[in-house]
Amino acid sequence: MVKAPGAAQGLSTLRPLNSPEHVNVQAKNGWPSTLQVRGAASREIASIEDVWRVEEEWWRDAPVVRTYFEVLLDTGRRMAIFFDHGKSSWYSQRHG
Amino acid sequence: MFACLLIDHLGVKAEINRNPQLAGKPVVIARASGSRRFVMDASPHAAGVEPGMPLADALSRCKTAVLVEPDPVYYHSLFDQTLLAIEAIGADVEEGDLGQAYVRLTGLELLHGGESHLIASFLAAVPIHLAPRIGIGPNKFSATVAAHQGRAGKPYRSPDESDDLARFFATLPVELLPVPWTTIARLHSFGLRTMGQIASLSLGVLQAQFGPEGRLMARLVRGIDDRVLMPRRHDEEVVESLAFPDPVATIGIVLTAVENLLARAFDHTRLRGRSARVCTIEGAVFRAPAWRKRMVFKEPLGNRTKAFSVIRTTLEGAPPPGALEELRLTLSAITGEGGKQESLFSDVRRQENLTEAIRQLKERFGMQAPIYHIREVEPWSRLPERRKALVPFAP
Repeated sequence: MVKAPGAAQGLSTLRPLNSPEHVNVQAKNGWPSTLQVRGAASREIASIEDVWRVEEEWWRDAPVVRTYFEVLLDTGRRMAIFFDHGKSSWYSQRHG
Repeated sequence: MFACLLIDHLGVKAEINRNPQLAGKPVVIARASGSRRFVMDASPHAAGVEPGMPLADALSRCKTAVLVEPDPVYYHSLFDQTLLAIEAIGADVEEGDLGQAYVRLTGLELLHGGESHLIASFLAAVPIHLAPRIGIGPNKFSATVAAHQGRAGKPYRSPDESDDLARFFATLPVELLPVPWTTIARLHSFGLRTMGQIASLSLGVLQAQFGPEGRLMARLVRGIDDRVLMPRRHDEEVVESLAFPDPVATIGIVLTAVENLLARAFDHTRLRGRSARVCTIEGAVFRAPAWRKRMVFKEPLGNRTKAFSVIRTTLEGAPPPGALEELRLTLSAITGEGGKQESLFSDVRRQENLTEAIRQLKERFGMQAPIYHIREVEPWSRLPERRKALVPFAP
C-alpha cells in the first residue's frame, strides 16, 4: 500500500471549517440506530429529529449526494450526521 | 547565468585559520545535543568521521582526533564577511546553508570585462584559505551540482541546455537534490539512487508520491529550475562594541558595559526618534566559543532605560558562559516610528494590539505566526465545509 503524499498545509493555504469526520454508524433499513465517534464508546440513537437530503454538483463524475440526519443520542447530545451515497460512508458534521 | 559558492568544511577551515597549528591534523568539531555529542564537522584527515555521527563512534574510528568546541558565531561571521565581499563586486547574493550561496552573474559580465574576469573577481572576493568551490550553470540547481563536481578554486561549468543538463545529472546521486533528508531516505527505500532514475519516472507518479517536492524533483532532474534568486536583505542596524582590558566574569561589570553600549547606540543619529525591536549581544569568551544572546522586545523601544531594563532581566537569568574579552551590541529591526498615538476606538486598538503581537511572534520565531481568522468563502453552499474557511491573518 502506498501512502498518500499528505503534503503539510502551509500558512498560505485555506483551511476549510466544519470538515466532515468519519463515524461508525449501524443502520437499520437506512435509518441510523447506533453511533460511534472515533475514540469514544458506541452510543444508541434515541431519536431522529430531522432528515434532509443534499444533492450538489450533479454535473460532475462524482456528484455530492448526502442524506443528513439530526439525531439525539441516549446521552442527550444532539448531532448532525450524514450518509455519503458516493462513498457509502457515514460522517458527522457540526453545523450541518 | 548563476554561480554557486560552496565552502565545504567551513567550520574546520575557520578553526584552522584561527589556529594554524591545527592544519594537517584530524580536527573534529563536536556539538552537544541534549546529553549526547555529535560530530558537527570534521577535516578530511579524520578518516571515517562524518558530520552527524555520534562523537563516541567518531573517536573509535579516529583515535588521534583533535576535538574542537564549535563556534557558530565565528563561522557565521566569517561567511557573512565573505558574502559581503561578493556583494561588493556588484552581485546579488542569496544565502543558503552555512557555506553555500548563490550569485546571479547575468548582467555583471560587461561591468567586469567578460565572464572570465567576473569569475576571477568572484574568486578573489573569497578568502583563499576557505578553498571555495564554484559551480556555474543556467539555473541555481545546475550551478549547485556543478559546484559539487568541481575542485577548490577551479570553477566548474554545467551544460547550458536542459537536455544536456539531464544527461549531466543522470549518473549523479539524489543526495544533491534540495529536498529534506527524509525525502532522500524515501527515494532510497524505492531503490532510487541516481537522478537519472528519477528522470525516468513521470511527473504524475512523483507528484502523487511526494507532493510538491515530487514536482520540484521531476523538474530539476530534467534541467528545469525556475526558482528565482532571493537576494539577501540588509536591514538597518546600529552596532556598538567595546573590548575589556582583562577578561570580565562579573555580571555587574558586564551590565555596566551593556548600559554604556546602549547609551552610545541610542545616541546614534540613525536611531534618533526611532525605536528598535531586536537587541543582539555577542561576546568573545576567554578560551571558549563566542557567546550570543538575541532579545526581541515586546514592543519597539526608543530609549535606553527601557531597553536596559529588559536586557538586565534577561542577562541576570542567563549570564554569559565565561569571562568576556569583548562585547558587541546590535540594535536591529529599527522602526520608523516617531511617536505613539493611541487609538480612540477600542476595536481599532484591538486590531493594532493583534498586529503588534503577530509582528513580535514573527520576529522571535523567524516565520509567519500561525494565526488565522474565519472568512466566509461560499456562504450560500449547501455543503457546510465550504461555507467558511480559516485564512492566514495578514496584519
